[in-house]
This record gives sequence, C-alpha cells and structure tokens, in this order.
Amino acid sequence: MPAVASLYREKLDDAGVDVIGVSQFNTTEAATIEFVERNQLSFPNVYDERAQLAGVYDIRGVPSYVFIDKQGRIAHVSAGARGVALIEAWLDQLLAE
Amino acid sequence: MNRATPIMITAIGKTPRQCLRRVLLSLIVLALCAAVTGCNQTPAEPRGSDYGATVEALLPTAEPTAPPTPDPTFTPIPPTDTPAPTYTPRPQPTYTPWPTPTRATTEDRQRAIPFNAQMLDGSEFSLPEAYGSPTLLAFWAPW
Repeated sequence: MPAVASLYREKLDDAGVDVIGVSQFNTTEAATIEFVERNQLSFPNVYDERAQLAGVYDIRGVPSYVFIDKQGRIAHVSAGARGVALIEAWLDQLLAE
Repeated sequence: MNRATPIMITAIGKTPRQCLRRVLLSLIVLALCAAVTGCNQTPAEPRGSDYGATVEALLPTAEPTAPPTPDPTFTPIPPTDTPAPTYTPRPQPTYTPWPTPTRATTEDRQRAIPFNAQMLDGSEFSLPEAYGSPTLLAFWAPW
C-alpha cells in the first residue's frame, strides 16, 4: 500500500484518477487510521467494517485492486501483490481510453 | 661271473643316470611299438552271442509310431517377403497451453456496482459521481 501511495502522489492525483483505499479483514477503525497516518496515505480511505465492498466486488484477499473505467465499468481486477508497474500500466490504459 | 647278464656288462662303465635314461628310452620305444600293433589289429569278436541279446533285451521294444502330427498350437509361418514392421512411435501427449486471458474489450466490461461510502476523514465518496475519470479501488489491511 505505501507503493500505491507513492504512485498516487507522483502521478495518479494529477491524472485525475480517483483512488479509494478500502481497509477491512480483521482490523479496527483505530488501527486503520493509525496505518493511514503512519504511511501517509494521502488518498481517501474507508473502513469497511463488515466487508460490504469486498462482498460486492468478490474480493478474497488483500491486496486486491479493482480498476473502474470512466464509464463506471470494471476494467481489471488484480489480486495479490502485483507490482506497481502493472497497476500504472493498467491505469495508463484507462486514461488513454 | 662276468657273463651273468649282457645288461650288466653293458652297464659297466656307465653312470646310473645314463643307465636310467637308456632304460626309459627302451620303455618308450616298447610302448610305441605296442600302440602301433594294437591299432592294426581288427576288433575283437564279442564275448559271446548272448552279450548282444542281453543288451537288446534291456532296450525298450520299439512300437510302430505314427508319423508326427503337427503341433496344433504352433503353426510355423513361412518366410515371406513382407517388409519388417515399421516402428511407430507412441504419440506424445500434446501440451495445450493455458489460454492467455484476453483483455476484455470495453464493450465486454461489467458495470461496477455503484456504492456510496464515508471516508475516514469524514468526506463522502459516490462512485456514480466519479464517472468520467478512472477509479482504483485498493483493498488493503493494516498488517
């Protein structure tokens, strides 16, 4: 997640990409806030206590990424520790569409 | 006394070694002569007529046998000019690569379920309001 935070600061924020962090899976809101501050996650984050968003998007583990295009459609779903380069490439594709 | 035996006279003046060599040589010559004489003799007659009868009685009585019938379990294959069977290699299993997931076209994409959520900083996020720009949902855990 710190890598995504760096990518957000360097590129995604200026490119107009909305990044929403979803914290869940056996944690507390206090632990989530502490992690966000400690790692300087400057993009918005939500504490999904009951994992509602994970259920909606069929997320089975973390980290996972859901890429939504400009029309609100799911373009890519990435599960596992994918490299930031892959995330960046997919977002470049979405920006180019 | 001196004419006792010629051999003794002959042996006079010879060393025992020379005498022994002469005796051995004589024995070898006698043995060769006996062998040549034995080879030239005709075979001796059997000891008696009953000898052959005894041997004949010990042999099993030969019964008239039918001509050998071919073994039904074995049929000899006459040699032919057919070519030798060629070796056909066993077909190897073919590997079918796992299909590479194709990137979904924009028309095939599934619409994301819209949602509203309150951020930790108190702000509100609505996915429908974010239409027009790409959105990345990053699911994570603080560990």
